[in-house]
Amino acid sequence: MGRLKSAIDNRIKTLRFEHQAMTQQQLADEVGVTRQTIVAIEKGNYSPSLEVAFRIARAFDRSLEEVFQFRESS
Amino acid sequence: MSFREKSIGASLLITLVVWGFYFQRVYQHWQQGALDIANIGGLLLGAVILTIILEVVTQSVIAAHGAVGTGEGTGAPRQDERDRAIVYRANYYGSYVLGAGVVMAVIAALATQNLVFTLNILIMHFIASEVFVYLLQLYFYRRGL
Repeated sequence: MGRLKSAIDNRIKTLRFEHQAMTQQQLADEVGVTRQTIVAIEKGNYSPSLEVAFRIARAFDRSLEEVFQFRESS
Repeated sequence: MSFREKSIGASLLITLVVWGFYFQRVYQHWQQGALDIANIGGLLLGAVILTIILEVVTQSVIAAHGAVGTGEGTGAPRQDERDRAIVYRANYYGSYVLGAGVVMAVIAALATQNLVFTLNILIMHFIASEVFVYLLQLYFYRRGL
């Protein structure tokens, strides 16, 4: 059935703390998703669409690769 | 627990209680050899109306409660791409249960020539499909998609 862990790692939690300890709710509001979706992405339980991934990267003024990394071995 | 999970959990509970009671009564009628439209019609209508009323009341309470304490509904959308993906995938698997129900209903119709029995086979699989979809959604919310 559904995979439990995404093949994509991310640095969202680290980047949130580097951005004045941005809360998950603040990031969710900026990106336009629910807080639960940010939680799921952070935990690797959900791979966001390309559009949401770009929105998250833009919220931190980073490139996509600086926020998300594809895990080849999975 | 998120607003969506509470909403799905409530729907699951309502479905199990109302339709569990419905099928218990249907089974009693069947055992008594009184499975006809006169006995089942009112029961079916009652179950549908009760489901609608309970859904409206509980979803309203959950929505009102969610807007007050959790920070949800204060700017971020109530549903996003992950919610839609979860619903889509759960419905995809649920459709197999419903499809099996249609096949079973056709077999029941051919074997028994009993319209009420066939109808209840179809309703049973429809409800089973709904329950399966709710459970899958809860699973996907908890364990990931």
